[in-house]
Amino acid sequence: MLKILKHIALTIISTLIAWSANSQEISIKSCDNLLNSGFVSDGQEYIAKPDENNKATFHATFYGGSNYRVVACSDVEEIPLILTVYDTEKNLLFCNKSYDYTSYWNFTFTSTIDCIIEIEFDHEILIQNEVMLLIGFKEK
Amino acid sequence: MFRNSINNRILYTALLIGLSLFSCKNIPEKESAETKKSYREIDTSTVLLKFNNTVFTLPSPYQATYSVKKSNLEFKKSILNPPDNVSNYSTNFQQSLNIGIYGTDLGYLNIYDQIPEVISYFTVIKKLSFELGIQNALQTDIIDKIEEYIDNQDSLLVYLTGTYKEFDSYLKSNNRKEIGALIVAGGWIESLYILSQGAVDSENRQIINRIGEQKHPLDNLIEILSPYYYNSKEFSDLIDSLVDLAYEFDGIIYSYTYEEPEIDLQRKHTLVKSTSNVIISEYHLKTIANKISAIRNKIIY
Repeated sequence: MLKILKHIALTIISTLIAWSANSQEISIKSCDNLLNSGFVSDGQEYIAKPDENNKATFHATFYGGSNYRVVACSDVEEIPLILTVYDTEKNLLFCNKSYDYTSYWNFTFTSTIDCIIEIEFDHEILIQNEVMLLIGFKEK
Repeated sequence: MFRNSINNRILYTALLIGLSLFSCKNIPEKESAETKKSYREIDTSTVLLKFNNTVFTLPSPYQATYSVKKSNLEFKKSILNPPDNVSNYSTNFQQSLNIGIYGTDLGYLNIYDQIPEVISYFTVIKKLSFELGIQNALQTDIIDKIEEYIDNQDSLLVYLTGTYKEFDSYLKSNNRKEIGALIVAGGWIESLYILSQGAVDSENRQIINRIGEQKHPLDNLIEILSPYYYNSKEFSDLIDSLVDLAYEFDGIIYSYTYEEPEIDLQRKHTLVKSTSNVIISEYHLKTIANKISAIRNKIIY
């Protein structure tokens, strides 16, 4: 009985810790912490207010042969962010909705490509809070 | 008995931690109400809704200098803006553009391990940041780290880009976005200048292609600067010269073919396999090189 209780307690704690860690990693203040693993910031913080569709759009160029990390953050803990990357012909290159709304994703580009990155609050109500995009690169 | 007691204690502690974590999330009823307020439903009856929801980004100028090194081009100190020129820059407009230019030069010097020069260029950047009143963005620990890792290429790059991100963040939060835009412009102008010098000298295909790939970054830079077009004649002249340069990029032929990307869930990684090609004539290459050189000369004099 005690073992079962212990197991339940530990499961609750690990879930809460994971939830707590996840909510911390998406805040704008701590967004920087996700640019790790050797990725170097491109030197900018891209902040935008979402439009009437809860969506902010970013135009970026990624060089062929380089590795990138793209990070999306907001200060609204309760609402997940959809991070989507398209080429300029609107072909889908990545969407985090299929990957548990992960706050970051890594990319390697074979050729230099201009992309459209969208960050969207996955919510029906219009949200006024800003979203932040960070781009890190790794050359080696 | 003793083991049971330990188990109970573990269980008790575990539950306590769990409850405290849970309660931590529940305590800020007030915060939660504030958050709710902050994303309240907007009254769409008012037409005066203005969103700033499209952002234009530029690749790091350090990446351009990497491609010069990757192509095995020799280091050329003469193409950089000499640190002594710093005394010529008396207006915020000149100082901002040149802090961007010196930043790209610093990246170039770092990649080629020119340590003594790195020190003098960093000193110049510190000086300009004081003159621009953005020295507060340069936290003491960043300066210490840069000085500590001056001979470590990788660490230095991290702290250098960190410095420019601090400038950017500081300027945005202090409503001096136009200074930030000029710093970005200076960085990009210098990176295209370094690329064009390398391309004209070596006719290296990789560098020539990288120049051709600057079409969209240039369009983005014009978008970033255009809200400030009427700020001053200096601003409008700079934007006009970049627009004129953009016309030359219209003569470059681009092709793009989409291919299904490859996803590796474990590495949280996507390999984008789509391909692009750039065809740039010698005429366009030379014209771009001449035009970027003229734009830069007006900035650094």
